[in-house]
Amino acid sequence: MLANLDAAMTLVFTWNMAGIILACSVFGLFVGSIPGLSATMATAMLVPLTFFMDPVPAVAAIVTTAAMAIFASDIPAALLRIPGTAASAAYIDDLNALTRNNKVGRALGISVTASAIGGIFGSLVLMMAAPKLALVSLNFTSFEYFWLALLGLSAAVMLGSSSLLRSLMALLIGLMIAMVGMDTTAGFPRYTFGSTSLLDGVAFVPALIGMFAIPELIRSFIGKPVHVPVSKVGNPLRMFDGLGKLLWQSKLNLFRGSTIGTVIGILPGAGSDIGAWISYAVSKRFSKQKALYGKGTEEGLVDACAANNAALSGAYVPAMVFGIPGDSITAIVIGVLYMKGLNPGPMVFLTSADKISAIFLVFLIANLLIIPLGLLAITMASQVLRVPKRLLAPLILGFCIVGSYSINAAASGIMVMLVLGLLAYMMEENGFPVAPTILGIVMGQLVERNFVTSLIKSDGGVLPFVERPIAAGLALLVLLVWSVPVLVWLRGNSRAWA
Amino acid sequence: MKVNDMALGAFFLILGSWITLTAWAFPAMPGQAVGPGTFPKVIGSLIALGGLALVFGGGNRRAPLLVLAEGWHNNRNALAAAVALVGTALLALGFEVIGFPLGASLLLCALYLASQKFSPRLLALAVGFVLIVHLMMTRLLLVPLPAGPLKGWL
Repeated sequence: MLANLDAAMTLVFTWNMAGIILACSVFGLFVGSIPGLSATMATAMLVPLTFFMDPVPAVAAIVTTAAMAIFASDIPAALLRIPGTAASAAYIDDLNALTRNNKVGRALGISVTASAIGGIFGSLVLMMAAPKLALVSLNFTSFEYFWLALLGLSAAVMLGSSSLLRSLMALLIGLMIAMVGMDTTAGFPRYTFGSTSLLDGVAFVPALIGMFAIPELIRSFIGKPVHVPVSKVGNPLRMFDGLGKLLWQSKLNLFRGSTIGTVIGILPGAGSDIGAWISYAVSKRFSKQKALYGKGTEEGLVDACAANNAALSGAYVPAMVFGIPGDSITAIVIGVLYMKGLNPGPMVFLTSADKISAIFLVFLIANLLIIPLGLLAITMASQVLRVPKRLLAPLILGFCIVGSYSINAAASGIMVMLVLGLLAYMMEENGFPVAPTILGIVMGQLVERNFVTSLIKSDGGVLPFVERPIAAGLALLVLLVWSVPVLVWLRGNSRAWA
Repeated sequence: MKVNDMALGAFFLILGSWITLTAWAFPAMPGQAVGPGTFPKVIGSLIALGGLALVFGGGNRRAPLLVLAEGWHNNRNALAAAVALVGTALLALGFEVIGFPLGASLLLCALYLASQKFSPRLLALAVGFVLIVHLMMTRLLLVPLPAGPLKGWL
C-alpha cells in the first residue's frame, strides 16, 4: 500500500478530484440531512454520473457522498428525532435529549468528530490490513451470523431504559413486522392479507420515519404550545469547547467504538447498523453512568458514532478483496468497479495497486472533510430549532410524507409510516421502547435466514450451532448478556422484570 | 393513551396465538422439517408468553382500562392530531390521483387551521413549502412525486 502512495497521490491530488470530492460532499450532506433520504439513495443517484468519470473519481464520488450522508443523517436525528439510518436510531434518544437540554452544538460536535475519527480509523485499517481481515470474515457461516445477529438483538433489549419484559416485547414486535412478506427461504407470502405491496415486506425507511417522527408530531399537537429557548449554535468552532477534553477522556470509547465498527463492518451483510447498536450496548455495559444512557449520554454517543463511520470503511474490505458487498452502498460500489474494469478480487491489489491505494486515500480525505463541512451543515440546519415546534410540525409531516414515498415511489410507504407511527406512539405511551422494535425490523430477515439455514444444515440439531470456535465464542457472549438480568432476577430483584 | 397491563397482555396473548396458529398452516420445504412457518412459530409463541407475563406480572393491573393523555381532552389539540393522522391516511389512499402538490398543500393548510389562529401567512407558508419541496424532489433529486391534476403545470 505504502509503496504505491506516490502514484496514488498523483491520482488524488488534482483539481478535478478536488472539485468532485467537494461537490459530492455538499450533495451527501444535503441528501443526508433531509429526513427519509438515505445514504444508499444518494449513492444510487450518483451512479449515472459515474458513467462519465474515470475509475478513481467515480469511486471517490460514491465514497465521499456515502460518508457525508451517513454523518448528516445525525442532524435530523438530533433536531427533529427522525433518524436517517438504522445506525443513528441506536443513539437518537441521546442526541435528541442533548438538543432538548440546549446542547445541540455539543451533541452534533461529538457526532461529527467521533464519526470522523471512527471513519479515519476504519480507513487506516482498510489500507493496512484489508486482505488479511477479509480472510477472517470468510470463516463466518450461517451459524456465526445467527449468533452475531442474536447478540445485536440482545444488546438492543439490554440497553433500553424500560423493563426487560417490555424491551423484549418491543423486540418481538419488530421481528413480527419483519416476518411480513415473502419468506427468505421458500418465497412463501406471509401475513400480507392479500396486499401485493406487502410482498416485499414492510419498507424499512417509512417504518423508521414513522416510528420516530409520528409520535413526536402527535405529542407536539396535543402538548401545550411551549417555546423552549434555544441557544444559537453561533460560531461553529464553539462546538469544540470542551470537546477535546471529552474526547481525550473517552479515548478508550473512541478506540473501542472504532474497533467494533470496523470488525462488524468487515462482516458481509452486517454493516454499520449492527456496529452502532453493539457498540452502544458495549459502551453502556462498561459505563459507570448507565442511567444516563438514552437520556443524553456523551460517552455512548462517542462509541456509537465512531462505530457508525468505522463500519462504513470496514464494509469495503470484503467488497474490494472478494467482491462481496458488506452493505447496500458497497453493493453499488462493486457494480461501479466492474463497470470501470476494476474487478474486485485479490488480483486487483496487484494489477491496479495505484488506483486501489488512491481510493483508500479518498476514504481518509472524505473522513477528514466531515469535520469542516459537517460543522457548516450543522450551523445551517440548527436554525430549525429557533422555529416553534407547533409551527414546524406540519412541515415535518410534509417531509415525512415525501421521504416515505420516495424510497420505493409507492404510496403504500406513507401508509406504513402512519400505521407504524401510531404503533410507536402507543408503545411509548405504555412504556415500551421503540429502539428494539426498529432493530427487530432491520435484522429480522437476517436472523430468520441464518436460523433456518443453520437448522437445515444441522438437520434440526442444536450442537452444530456451537461446534465452530467463532460460533461458540459468540454464543457464549449471548449467554453472558442474558445471564446478567436472569441473575438479578434470581436474586429476588423481580421488580426489574415488569 | 395508557392501556391497562392486563388488557395489553391479553392482546399480545391473542396476537401471539394467532401468529403461531397461522404459521402451522404454512407449507414446509420439501424434505425438510423447517420452512416458512418455523420462525413465526417461535416468535408467535414468545409474544404469547410475553402476553401471559404481562397479564400476571404487569405493573399497572389495577389501572383503568384506558387513560387518555391530558392533551387529548383539549378539543383543539385533539382536532389537530386527528387532522394530521386522518389527513395523512386519506392522502396516502389518494396520493396518485390528487398528487403531492395539491394533496399536501390541503393537508398542511388544514393542519395550520386546526392548530393555529387563522393567518394567511401560514397558509402561504404551507403552499410555498409544498411547492418548493415538490420542485426540489422532482427536478433536483429526480424523485417521481405524482403531480396529480397539476401535471403539466409543475
